[in-house]
Amino acid sequence: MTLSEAWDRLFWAAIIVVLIGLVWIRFLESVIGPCDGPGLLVALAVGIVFFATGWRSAAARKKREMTETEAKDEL
Amino acid sequence: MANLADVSSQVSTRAAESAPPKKRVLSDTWYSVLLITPAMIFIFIFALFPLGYAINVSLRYADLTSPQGISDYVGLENYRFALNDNIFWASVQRTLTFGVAAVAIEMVLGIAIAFLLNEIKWLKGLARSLFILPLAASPVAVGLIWRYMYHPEFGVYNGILASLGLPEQNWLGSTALAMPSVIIFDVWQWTPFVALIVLAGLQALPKEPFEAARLDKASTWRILRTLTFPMLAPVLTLVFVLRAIDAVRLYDAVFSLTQGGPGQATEVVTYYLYRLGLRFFRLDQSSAMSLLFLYAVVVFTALLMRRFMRNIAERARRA
Repeated sequence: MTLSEAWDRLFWAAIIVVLIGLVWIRFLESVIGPCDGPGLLVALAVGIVFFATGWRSAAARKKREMTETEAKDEL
Repeated sequence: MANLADVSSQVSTRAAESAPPKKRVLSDTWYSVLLITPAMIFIFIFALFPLGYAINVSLRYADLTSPQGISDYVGLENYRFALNDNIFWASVQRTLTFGVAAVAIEMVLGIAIAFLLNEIKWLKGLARSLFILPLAASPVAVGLIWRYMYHPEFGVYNGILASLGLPEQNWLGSTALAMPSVIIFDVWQWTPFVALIVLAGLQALPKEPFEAARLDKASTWRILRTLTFPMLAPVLTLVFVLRAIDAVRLYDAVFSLTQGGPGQATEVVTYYLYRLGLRFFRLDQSSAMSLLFLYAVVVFTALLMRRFMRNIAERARRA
């Protein structure tokens, strides 16, 4: 994963974390009562999963590209 | 004489080649860092520091009318208040109404005017200069002039209506007409901006595809649909993003024309934030709301710019 790709993924992960936090405060807290901690944990967990998924797919893509380049060089 | 010049240039070239290479004071990386540093300092002082301060205030209790001023941390309480504040959501709705209506009208009118300006053969410079005038004027000053033009008794618009035998209107005093009046003012001021940028885009288009299309007897509508608009798409996206961001940040027109009234008919988000933060001195709640608003604008812009950059990358790859 390049630095710009990592930054882009991090940015969208942060956006998702904030969105989940806002949805938690606006809609879920009216049902389950005020609880910042669990909401923050859920939002952060989703953000980390989103970032890690992107990281893994980028790493897999790079590995595939390297394998293809090696195969082309051998040919 | 020419030979002498050649010989002297050869001698100087050889001397330069034989001279020891000059030692560079800074590497490329450090030179880049040095060039970027002033801009980064500027961004830190005028963008990041205020943003961090606003985040800090939004997490505290900050009522400037109380003796303690900005005091203890209250967690996400201000965000909870903002998300459940009906006045805030009503102002968001008005802002969206204003943004959608104003930007749509400005884009349609601006594109039409750009096409017209691109076609006219004479007085081109004068027409363009006249179009720039609303952009050059200060929004508050022009807003005050428009306030008098909208005046129910002395205003020029009611004068026109009266001369046509139509009933006079209370442009800024009626809840039904106040928002359309602000939209008309914004359209008057910002349509030239759209027109000028689209005109620049039109003039930068290559001539060959259009000549080929005319040779193939393509209709004007088909040329517009398959050539002009696709080629103008990056310019149109850019101008749309700029206008949309500016429209949702509307403040000066509302301040000079209606001050959010009548009632709350034209109270957009920025004006509500001003009222809450600087009239009622609730900096905590207004900071939380402004950060929520910033979040929405950033997401909207990022999504549009992502699509815009992807289109540009695709075009570059195809070229």
